[in-house]
Amino acid sequence: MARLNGFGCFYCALPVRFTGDHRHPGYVVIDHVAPAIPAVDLGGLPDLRVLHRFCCHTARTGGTGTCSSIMLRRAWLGWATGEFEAGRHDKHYGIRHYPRLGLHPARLREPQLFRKYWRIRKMQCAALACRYYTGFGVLHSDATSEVT
Amino acid sequence: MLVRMILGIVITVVGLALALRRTVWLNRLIKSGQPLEGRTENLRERVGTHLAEVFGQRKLLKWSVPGLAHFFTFWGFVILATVYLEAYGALFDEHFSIWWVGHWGVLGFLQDFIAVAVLVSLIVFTVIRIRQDPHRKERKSRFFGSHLGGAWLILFMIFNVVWTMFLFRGASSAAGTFPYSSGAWVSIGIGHLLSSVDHGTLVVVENVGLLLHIGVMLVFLNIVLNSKHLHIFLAPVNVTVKRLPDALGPLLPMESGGKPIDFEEADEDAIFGRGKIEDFTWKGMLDFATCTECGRCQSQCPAWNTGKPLSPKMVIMDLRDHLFGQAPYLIGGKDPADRPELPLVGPASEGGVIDPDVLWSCTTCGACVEQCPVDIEHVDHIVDMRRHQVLIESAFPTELGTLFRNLENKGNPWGQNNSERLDWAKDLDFEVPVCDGNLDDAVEYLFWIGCAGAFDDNARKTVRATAELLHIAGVTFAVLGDGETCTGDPARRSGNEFLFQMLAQETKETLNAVFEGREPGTRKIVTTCPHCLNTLGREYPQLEGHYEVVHHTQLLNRLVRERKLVPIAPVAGTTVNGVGPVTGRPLTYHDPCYLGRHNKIYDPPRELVEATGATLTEMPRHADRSLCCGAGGARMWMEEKIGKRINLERVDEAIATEAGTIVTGCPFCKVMLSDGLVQRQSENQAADVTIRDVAQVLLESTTRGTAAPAAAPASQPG
Repeated sequence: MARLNGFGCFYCALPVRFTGDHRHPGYVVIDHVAPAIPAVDLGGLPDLRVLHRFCCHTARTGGTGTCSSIMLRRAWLGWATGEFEAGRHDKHYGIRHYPRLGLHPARLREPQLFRKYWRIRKMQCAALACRYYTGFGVLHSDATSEVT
Repeated sequence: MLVRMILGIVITVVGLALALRRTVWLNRLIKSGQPLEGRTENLRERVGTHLAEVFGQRKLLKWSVPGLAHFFTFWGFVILATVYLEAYGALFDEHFSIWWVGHWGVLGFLQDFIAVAVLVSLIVFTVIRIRQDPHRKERKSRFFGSHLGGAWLILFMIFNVVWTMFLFRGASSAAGTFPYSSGAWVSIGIGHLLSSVDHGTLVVVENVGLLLHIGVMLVFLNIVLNSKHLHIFLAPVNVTVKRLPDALGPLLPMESGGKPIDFEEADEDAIFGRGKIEDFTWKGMLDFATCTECGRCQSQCPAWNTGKPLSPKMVIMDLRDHLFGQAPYLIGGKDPADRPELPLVGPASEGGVIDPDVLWSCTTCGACVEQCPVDIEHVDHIVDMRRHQVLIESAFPTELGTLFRNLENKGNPWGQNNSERLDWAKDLDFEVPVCDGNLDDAVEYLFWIGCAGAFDDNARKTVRATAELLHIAGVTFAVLGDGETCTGDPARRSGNEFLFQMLAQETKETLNAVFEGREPGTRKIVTTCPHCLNTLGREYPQLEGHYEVVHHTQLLNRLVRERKLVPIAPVAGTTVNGVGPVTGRPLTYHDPCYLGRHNKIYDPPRELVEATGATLTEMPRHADRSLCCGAGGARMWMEEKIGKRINLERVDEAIATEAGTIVTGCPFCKVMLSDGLVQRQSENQAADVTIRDVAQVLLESTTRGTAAPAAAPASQPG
């Protein structure tokens, strides 16, 4: 089926990229997702997961427990992807910056509306990520791939 | 003559000037709403709707007594316009008559007849208002919360129109200036009564009657324009620009500035749902101004009828009052900078217009929309306000957080793994084909199982029964297995349009891949879930997903008619559909809102039940007046903390029919009714009542002659 083509990221469930620039936020990484997942599974095999390069960073720093919303994870990936496509260096959309999705209250026309603008930006970025990585929509987490 | 002419002209100019001023103000206010396209297309259909609903009073006549009274009152306004033409003509020429037909007795008769009919109607309205007095009946009155004084004033003004008409025409008849020599039986009769009065007095009485008749109309006009009775002028417009065929079935896409929102391109200042009164479209504002506070919506609302704070009527009234209160800030008169910051949705203590408990009590069952005689689109407005609360304010009942998370992460409201989606088919004695990619040419139907059918034990029985029936009938079908995800219905009804769009895009792409190469008309889907039916069949076209979706009861009914399924009538001493002896108790059918009101499928399930040989008995509230089970509008996933539980209300109604089995055609209704029945059975009521889907009943009837399944224990519903 169309939507099952390719590997889905363990963290955000969107397909990963196997081609192109390896610095791309959506480029494939195969790694442990610590600390939520033990490094080995019950069979003693390394419990590896397929992830986007960017999601691997956020999962490592934030952990899966801090953000249970897949839409927010996708929004972060979408924002990072947009920044990469715009030619910005990853220090501008890296780990220190993604939670705000590029919004800074002090730079807003109406700083008191930061929460509203952030929610709209979240939807924009998540929609962008879905369209960018799947061409249409979303995959769900139990459809993602596991590498053991 | 000259004096009455001058007086008549002066009061007319003053009255019309005041009316014009108010009309311009109202026009500016309604036009200040957000743009909305598509409400003037399909002119032919709209004219037909206008004729049926305005001149034919189609929706009002659903309630026979008040409907007939309103029918005559409406036609009174139309026909008595000719009397006003004669009255204005008489200002200038005392012998004035309408051109060509002005002396025709039939017209005179019609004028007097309708005036008398209006008087009788006024008596009917008075009796209804006294019997429905909200001071006595409180929430049980449909006028609870309405402006009562204004309604009585309007009835009084209509009475004034009628008696001044007869005074003027009677005096005119006696004075010899009346244009009709026959037909106008009341006017001529009054003329006979006045025949002994001298001519000079008659002229004075005629002048006074004429000026009073005109004056009453002008006062009435201004009262109407400044009261809830605006519907006299706005209802014909509102009916004509309504959603076609009605505001049920699919929800409208979320729009900002008249254009559907593309979430990827959304402007940060775009309007997401309705967070302020000015966010409503002009149609919304027209709805608010048109409400006549008749309370038909309120009388049908499942939330109101079970003690919850939601009344569709009062939602519209509160929005209207707020709109009129904010009007000076919207269309000039007051400085917008001075406008107080009041939340549209919030508790009254914070100045909120709509209480959150009101907003989240709605089951989107559509009973209000179905009943509204002026075609107000309550459900659209409520969902639009929910959209703003969810997407921008992030303010929604906590239980919905779990729903959204499950939909996001697992693609179903239960939060189950997709790998379990085929568990329902495990024990079938035939193999259910699973489509993995393109649907085989030999397969006619894609069987959409739905999340309930896949994960809820009760609903699984329905899906199994349907699959067995399709297999028996030789219908070729396939399922998607773990390729299915939620259609997005609960997300959309709870206001999470973004999540709906995400889920719907995915499902649409999946279905497009499945049906790739198939011509329109062959992209057939059958489902047991009316919510999936509504979303796949009527909402996905908004996303360019076009499929022919049928409910299983429609398909099964067709198969029975084609003799591909042959129900075997029960014989004496056996069971009817697993419950009770043949001579025992009938079945009652609960109409799912999204099958009935939203998609107008009332007959196929009933025909199927009757085809099994069982006796069908109806609940008092059935078909288009059916009471919701309480699960719609994502209420399935929320706690019901206020008032009586809606499912208990419905189960009580079903039990009162003394039916042995409650049948339905929706997995969510089945869950809600089963929960209600279990509670009643724990209270030692209805011990031998069961709840089943139509497909289960049909399957038992169809297989009775072959391998008779064991009757379900009476205490175990489903």
